[in-house]
Amino acid sequence: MPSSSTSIPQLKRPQRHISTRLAIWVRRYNIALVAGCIFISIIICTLAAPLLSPYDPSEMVLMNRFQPPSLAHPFGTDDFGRDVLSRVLYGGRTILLTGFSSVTISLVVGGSIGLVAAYWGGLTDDILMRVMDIVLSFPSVLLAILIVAALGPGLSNALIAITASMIPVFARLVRSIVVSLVQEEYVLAARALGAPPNRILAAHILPNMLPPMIVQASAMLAVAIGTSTALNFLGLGVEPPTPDWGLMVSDGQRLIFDAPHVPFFPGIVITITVLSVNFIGDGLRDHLDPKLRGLG
Amino acid sequence: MINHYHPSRYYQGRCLLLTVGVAITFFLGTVQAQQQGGTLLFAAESMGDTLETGLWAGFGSIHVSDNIGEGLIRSNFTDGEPEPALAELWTVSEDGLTYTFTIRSGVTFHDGTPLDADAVVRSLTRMSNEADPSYLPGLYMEPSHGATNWESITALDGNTVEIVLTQPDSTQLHKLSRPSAYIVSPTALDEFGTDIGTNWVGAGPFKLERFVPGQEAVLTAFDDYWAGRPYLDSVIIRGYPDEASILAGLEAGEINFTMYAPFLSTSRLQASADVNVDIGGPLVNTFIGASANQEPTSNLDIRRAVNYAINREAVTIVGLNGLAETPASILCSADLGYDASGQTISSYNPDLAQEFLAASGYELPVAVTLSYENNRFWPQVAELVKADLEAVGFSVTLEPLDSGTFWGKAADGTLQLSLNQRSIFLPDPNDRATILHSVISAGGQTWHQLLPMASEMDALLDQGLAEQDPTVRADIYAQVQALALEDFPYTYLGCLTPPVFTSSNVSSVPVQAAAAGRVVLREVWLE
Repeated sequence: MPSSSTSIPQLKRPQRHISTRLAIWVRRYNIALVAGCIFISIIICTLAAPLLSPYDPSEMVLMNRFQPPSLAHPFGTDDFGRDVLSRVLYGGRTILLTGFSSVTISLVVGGSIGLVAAYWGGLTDDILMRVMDIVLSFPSVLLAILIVAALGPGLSNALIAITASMIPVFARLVRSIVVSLVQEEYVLAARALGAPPNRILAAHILPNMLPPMIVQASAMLAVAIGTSTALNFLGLGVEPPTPDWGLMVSDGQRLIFDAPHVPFFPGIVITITVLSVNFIGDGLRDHLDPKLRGLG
Repeated sequence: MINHYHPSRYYQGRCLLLTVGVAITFFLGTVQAQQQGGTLLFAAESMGDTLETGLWAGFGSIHVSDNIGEGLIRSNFTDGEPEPALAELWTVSEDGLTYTFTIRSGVTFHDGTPLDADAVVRSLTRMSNEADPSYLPGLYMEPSHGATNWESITALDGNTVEIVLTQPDSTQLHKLSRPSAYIVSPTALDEFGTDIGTNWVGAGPFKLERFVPGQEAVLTAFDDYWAGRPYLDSVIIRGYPDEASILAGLEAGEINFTMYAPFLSTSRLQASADVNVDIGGPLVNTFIGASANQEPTSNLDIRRAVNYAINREAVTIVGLNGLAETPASILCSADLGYDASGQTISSYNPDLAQEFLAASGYELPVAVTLSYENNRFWPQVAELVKADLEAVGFSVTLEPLDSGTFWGKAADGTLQLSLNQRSIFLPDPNDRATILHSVISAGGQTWHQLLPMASEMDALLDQGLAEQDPTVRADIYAQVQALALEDFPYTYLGCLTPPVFTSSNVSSVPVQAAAAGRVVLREVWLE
């Protein structure tokens, strides 16, 4: 008697037209998309500053002091007669450089520490995590200020300070992810089959770590930009007359009543940049988190 | 009898009545105008941690000291003459060495302790008297009131003090008006000891009600002040973190008196009905100090290059908002003996600067560090100086510092190039030029004791002090100015004419004294 095989009915996913899928995607992540466009525009403008700037950002023209916004100077001029638009365009370079570099370095270093702590566990885990806890106990901006105060002001020291203040965040995150992942059945199975630790880490753990790390990195990018701006505002970062948003706001605060356009434009660009990075982070979280993906 | 109407008589009568009426109104108005009462808020750039006059703790502390303290003498910044204060009379011997002061009788300190000659002697010598309970190692202000030139100071009787000088000093009377010479209550010195800096008890027009180090001091009128109770009931002298806060407070009517609003806002505030702006005389010299103790500024050609690299016009327009006169040398145009010919040397000549830089033997760019206090107009001036220096071949690292750190580094002699100012605390050219004296002002920003001019400069300055004849003194100070431009310990940026900002209800503003950094509020009143 021939065996009768029972076929399981397959549910066919409804095939949507690409425009429909795009519309759903746009509707779901509209804020993040707009923020992404803005942030990319800011990056492009910053990178293309030498091409886009109408004037040399450091050129002082005393006759042009405190020009209000006009066609010749869309963002006006400052107390040295320098074009504010040109300085805003160049001014993002230091902040974005510091932001991206510090997040990348802290992600790599902090991630490695978290990975080692979680995988090896025991005393290694205890020592590494207690050190991270100590660093985490300081507010990040305060820690960055303390480090710069010890090392001295300057762009490179500001970068070190911001990176150091963010390493524990990534170390803690990666550790918590890895600790839960190593208990998963597919990892236990790989271990049982004799897979070496580095293969397990590379093939099974690392890919599953990426989504939360990307979300965290985007959130930390906003923090890094904010901290970098704060350090420059406090005079602990780049040195005048280097164009920099934080420094421009710091210099411009005394002009708030007499030439409000001087601090206004760099201030608004900082706000837009940090907000757009935060919204991008929210969108990434919604997209990458399976619990949130179906919502909205 | 018919009384005929006579127009002229009628008008004469009316005019007489009107005149009498106006006179009465004016008299009453005057009496009413000088109103007692009210609280004046004075905004300072910062507030020090102590009111100890043996130390420099910043202008905030000085403003408090100037109102709670008083010395034997006051300096009049308008006519440049010394005036009686706690000493009602004095005589000077013919050789200019012996000063005899008659202490004002019936004066008491804020704690009720009577003022006498012993209190004066103790107060003027306590900083170097290790036996005094208020003695602290490192109190260094005694030379500023001339004590290092005193052979003796003696209480001849209860009301007479005699000071015998080693060398004649034509500024000795003015020097007794400096805060370090303010007389402090002996009872308070015994009670508070080394904590006297936060519990100061003087004999000035106001008494210290509360002092919060680093923040503010609250003063109240001293009812028993020897010259009569001041008009104001109380004064708050508060340190503000930045100029923008001061400006906002001034425009909101919260702040009544300050010299620390942004210079940039001067024009706008002058047009305001709520704020009065008075421009003081050229009382503050601004400059770059170059240390003879540090490479590469120990090299004369480097210092010359710095001098010629600076565009003073830009510094005046941008950094000082036009509130400065063209500099010549160590003195400004209001000083006795001022010589304008120095303007040709204190001038912008980048080609010459490059020549001197090349002659210095240093490889270009020559790296230097420019330090400055990170407040008021200094950051803008620093940025301009950096641009000018880099344009001729320097590589400049800016070092913005808080006041304490800046003065700490100045005391350690570790500054290389530094921005600074010399406010004329006494109306005498010596007060400005004394920073060139290699013994009185050794080390500091410039280490000018290491310069070739040091001994010649010391001799000139000593001569200027000893000389009583103004004409001869003027000639001496002309030589001082010329000599100061040979070794270039300083590059002069401009003689500041500081604005004094007051709310429109403040009357009797001591403009010249305030512009010099000496604000005494005893005659100020609020409408």
